Amino acid sequence: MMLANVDVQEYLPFLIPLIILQFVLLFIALRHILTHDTYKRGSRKLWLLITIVGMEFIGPILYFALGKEDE
Amino acid sequence: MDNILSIKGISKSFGGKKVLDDLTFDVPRNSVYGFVGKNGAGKTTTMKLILGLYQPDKGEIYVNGKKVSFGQNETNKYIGYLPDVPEFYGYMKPTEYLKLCAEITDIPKNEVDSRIKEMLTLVGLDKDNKRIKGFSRGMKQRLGIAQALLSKPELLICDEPTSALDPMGRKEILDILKSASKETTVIFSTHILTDVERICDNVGILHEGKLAWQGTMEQVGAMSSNKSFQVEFDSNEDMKRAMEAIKSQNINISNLEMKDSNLENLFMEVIGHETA
Amino acid sequence: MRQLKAFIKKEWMEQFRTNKLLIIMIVSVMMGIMAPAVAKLTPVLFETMADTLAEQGIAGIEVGDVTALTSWQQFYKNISMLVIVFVIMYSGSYTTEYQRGTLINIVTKGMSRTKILVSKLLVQLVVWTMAYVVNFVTTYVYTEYYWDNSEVKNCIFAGVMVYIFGIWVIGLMTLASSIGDTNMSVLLITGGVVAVCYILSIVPDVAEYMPTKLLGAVELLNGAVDVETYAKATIVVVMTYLMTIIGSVLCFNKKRI
Repeated sequence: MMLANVDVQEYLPFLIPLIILQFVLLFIALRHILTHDTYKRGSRKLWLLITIVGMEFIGPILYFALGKEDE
Repeated sequence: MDNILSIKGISKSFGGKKVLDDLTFDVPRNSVYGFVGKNGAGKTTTMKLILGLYQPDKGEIYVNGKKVSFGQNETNKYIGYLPDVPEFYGYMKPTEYLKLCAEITDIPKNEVDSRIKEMLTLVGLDKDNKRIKGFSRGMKQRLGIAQALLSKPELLICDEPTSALDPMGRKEILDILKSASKETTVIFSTHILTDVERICDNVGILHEGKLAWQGTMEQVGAMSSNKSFQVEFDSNEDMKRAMEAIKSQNINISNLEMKDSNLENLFMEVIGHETA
Repeated sequence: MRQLKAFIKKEWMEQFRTNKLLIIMIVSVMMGIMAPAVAKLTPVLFETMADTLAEQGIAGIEVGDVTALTSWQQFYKNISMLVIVFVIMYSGSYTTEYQRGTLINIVTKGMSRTKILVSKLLVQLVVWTMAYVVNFVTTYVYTEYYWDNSEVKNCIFAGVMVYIFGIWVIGLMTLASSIGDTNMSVLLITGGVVAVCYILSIVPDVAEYMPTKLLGAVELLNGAVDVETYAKATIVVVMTYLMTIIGSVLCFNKKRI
């Protein structure tokens, strides 16, 4: 992959917010997983794995949809 | 009109299995009615029918003289209900949950806050205003009583309020129910007979979908005079000898009780000793 | 009125305290950014891969000019994802309450069931509207920044079509929730109905009437079709939506909770 000739400046307006939001979502999910001991299904290890592997938003969404306990 | 609740010939089946069979009974106003039966005898079903949550196959139910109809809740405004395992929204605090209840039951706006405070003090949760998610079973049970009594109902229905609790928690809940009974009629289902003996003044025994026996606690007491179950030994001598024998075997007796649970005897009698 | 307001307040509080609203909003912004981002990056990716492709004998792939249209085409490619995320997140709105028994307390207090349904429906509609508008506006702003939205025809109209489709899906989900007992059954019923619509759309004459037609509003953007082509499907959507809501109320009133 050679991206040296690409003008990165041009892409910053969307790269920066995307990266920030991704980490916000990741942070919320990780915090929730670590502050709860029981899940609707799966274990803490499983959800940490899924959330980190699929961190570009699929992971956290899967956790909130399928793993998070109902309140 | 002195019956807050009248059940007239109710039958209900689930999937071919008859749970209630022509059940009929009345609950007099201002009583504490113990609704006794084995697990699966149909106690919860009866309560859900009273609340209009199930449709009876046959028969009618009247609360405060008004007919109960399925899916509607006209009569529910007279009733406070405590489910066996009360569940609340975990993200709310007790005051927020009671506020929701107060608005649903249309308690006058200027009374809401004072009423909530009064209820939380009654059940001893006034210092626990954190999210319900972290509540223990006993705390949820107490919040359950608070929400049931909030609208000052004429009839309080409690489904097995003590069965999930330890002896200490049970005593607390029974005391709260006893004090609540000064202002309302209480129906309370259980399979723990000592709880009934502690606070009830009327008893109904449900067995195989029918009311096998009904009466007041005085009648239960009076029935003990036949003493049919009390004699275990031929003589006092024999009993003493038995005790000596136990002692000589170095078996420790930490607690000796004269068995005098009249209600238990009666219960065994009407359901025909099956459980023994 | 007081009952309705109280229950709406409860539903709304749930959106905040269970993080639902925050998550769906973050996802909508991200997906709103993703559409123009992918459009912008596609030619770069092709450029960097051109040598590799040439080595494999694949040559002459023309990367067309990236315009506002490319960005919006990406938007419509991704939008079903937002609908799916929304459905997954709200499929348990009723069933969680059935399973935990939280509605029993509410109903036995004399709350009308219709008001429970109306509260949930209203709050879901508001959340969907917020999520969709944020998603749409984000893409719109980025597209305006890099290109020019005026190159795209029927931009707003096409957006409204997909928005209406979302509302229709919420109705479907409400009906499924008043029938099913678990959130899995709600997902299966909702997904099943949409799948049937897709399958029926194989027949061109039928496709005109299918609600799923609204999801294909991207074809409006280059002016290939007229807005009138969507009239039939829109009427079907409105009619079936009303039917699902009426059906939901009837079923929910007799639901064993």
